[in-house]
Amino acid sequence: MTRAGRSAAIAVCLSSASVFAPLSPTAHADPPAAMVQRDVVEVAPARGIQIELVDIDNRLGDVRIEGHDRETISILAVKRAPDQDTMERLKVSLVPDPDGPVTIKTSLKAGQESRPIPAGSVRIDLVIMTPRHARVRAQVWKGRVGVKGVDNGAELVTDEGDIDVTEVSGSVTTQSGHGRHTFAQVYGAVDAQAVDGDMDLDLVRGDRLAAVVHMGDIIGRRIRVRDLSVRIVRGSVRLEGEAVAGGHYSVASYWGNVEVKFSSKGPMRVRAMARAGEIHLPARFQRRRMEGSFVTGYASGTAGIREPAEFELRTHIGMITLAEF
Amino acid sequence: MTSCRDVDRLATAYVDGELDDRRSSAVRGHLRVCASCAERVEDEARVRELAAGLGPLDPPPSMWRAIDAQLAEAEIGDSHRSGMWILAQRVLDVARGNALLVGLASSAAAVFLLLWLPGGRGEAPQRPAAAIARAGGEARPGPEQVVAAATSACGGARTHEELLLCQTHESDRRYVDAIAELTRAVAEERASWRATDAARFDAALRELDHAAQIERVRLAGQPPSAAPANRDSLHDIYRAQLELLSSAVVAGDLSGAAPWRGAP
Repeated sequence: MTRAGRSAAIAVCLSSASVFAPLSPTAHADPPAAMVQRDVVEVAPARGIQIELVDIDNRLGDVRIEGHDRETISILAVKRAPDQDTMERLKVSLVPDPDGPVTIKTSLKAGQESRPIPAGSVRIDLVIMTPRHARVRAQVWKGRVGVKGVDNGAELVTDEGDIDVTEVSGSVTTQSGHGRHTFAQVYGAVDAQAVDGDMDLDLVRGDRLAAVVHMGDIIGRRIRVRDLSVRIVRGSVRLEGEAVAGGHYSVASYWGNVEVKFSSKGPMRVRAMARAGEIHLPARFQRRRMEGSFVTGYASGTAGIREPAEFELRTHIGMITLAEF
Repeated sequence: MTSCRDVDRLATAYVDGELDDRRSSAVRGHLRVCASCAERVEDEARVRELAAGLGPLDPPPSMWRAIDAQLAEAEIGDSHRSGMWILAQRVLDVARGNALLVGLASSAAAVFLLLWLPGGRGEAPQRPAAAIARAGGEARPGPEQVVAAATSACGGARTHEELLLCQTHESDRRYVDAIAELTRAVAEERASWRATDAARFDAALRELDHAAQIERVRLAGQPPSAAPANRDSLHDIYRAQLELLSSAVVAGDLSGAAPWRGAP
């Protein structure tokens, strides 16, 4: 099928879906000052067409995405508004793209009158079920974003809010201004960046793990990647995992401890540099000291004869610990 | 001879009219022959003009409360300090006005550190240890606390528009503060860089600064209701700045200093 024909097919499906969209039109659970409306929309592509990318842009609340084994996308939108007029201005739109992605976008439409909306009184939270094979992209403003059970990776961005990635395969990119990033059972390249916020990684396996945090701690368990790059300006790193022969592991903090505990079936080569602080390495590593004007602690060593896993550990002010298990 | 680097350093003071006649004339002369610097200074001037055109913004009452709370916290912290610490601070206050005394104190501190650092006595220095304790979560505020603080900073907003405006400022401030902190760290680190690396780094950073400035000018004319989505490009640039700076400062890696080609 041609690209144009394919997008048209999706467009038809989306249009027909939106006709019967509000399955549960309105629920008045909260006081009248805070109306809540729940809408459920199910989108089915035409036969033989796969939804490859689900692109979500919700600057009005949280987004949660879960993969399922069907070819449809279902969207639960929970809207909150102070009154009916404002509620009608809260929109969730579905836009098919000629390239194949499905875009879900929320907005607060301009009203006919210029009456101001009270601060914090409008909100849209989305829960989206998507085919597992679809790649997911989501952007929120002040809200949480989470993805679970998808097989083609995700790109998640929030200005302020937690990011949660669970049971995901494929490359994952996360970015936040402030908030905690949690990764659990991620199989693929991970690229995470936060200004303020901790990161917690449990069972991450793939080619690459890159994490950059300005202020926060990074804790990782059961990490097995070939290329690891972790940087923190203010905060400590504690990582446990398995080193791969020929892998490269760079862990650095400007102001904080670097604590790495890795097992390795092959040899390891280590360079550790602490400008002001101690360096603790296993006894089998040769150790020497460099009395330069900038580096006050330096240690390096290699153990084993095969292709080594290379570790580069740095801190300006803090302690470096490398342990094996 | 006035170079592009000089103009970059003096641009803000030039636009603000803070340079003396001779320096101002030298900058003007350079701008006549250097199109890129002229463009950069013009951008700076446009930012000033736009900023001057903005109405006064009353900070929300919650912001003053937050400042009061932080002052109170600092004062309570001071009350728990030892007499020795207070005495040391007083000495430092006096020293700040006396360069010779500062030099002597620095020398004494350097000798002390050389004797005391790992290898000297085999102990970690006290200051890092305190910092690490904070990094471990004892004193540094947790993310939840910071979220609460950030939210409360906009708690005084009455309308949705005011809230977006406040949140936007908060968001920008977070990036700008982090960039400023890393820029200060770069100033300390660059002494150990090779001149060619430093030049490449400076050029890359200057490009990002320039891109951010252009973006800020563009945003200055936008209504606050459009703020979150319109901020994406600026935040992409800020993130690229953070990436460049932290890579150089934290990991000592200057290889990422490449020309800015826009957000992916």
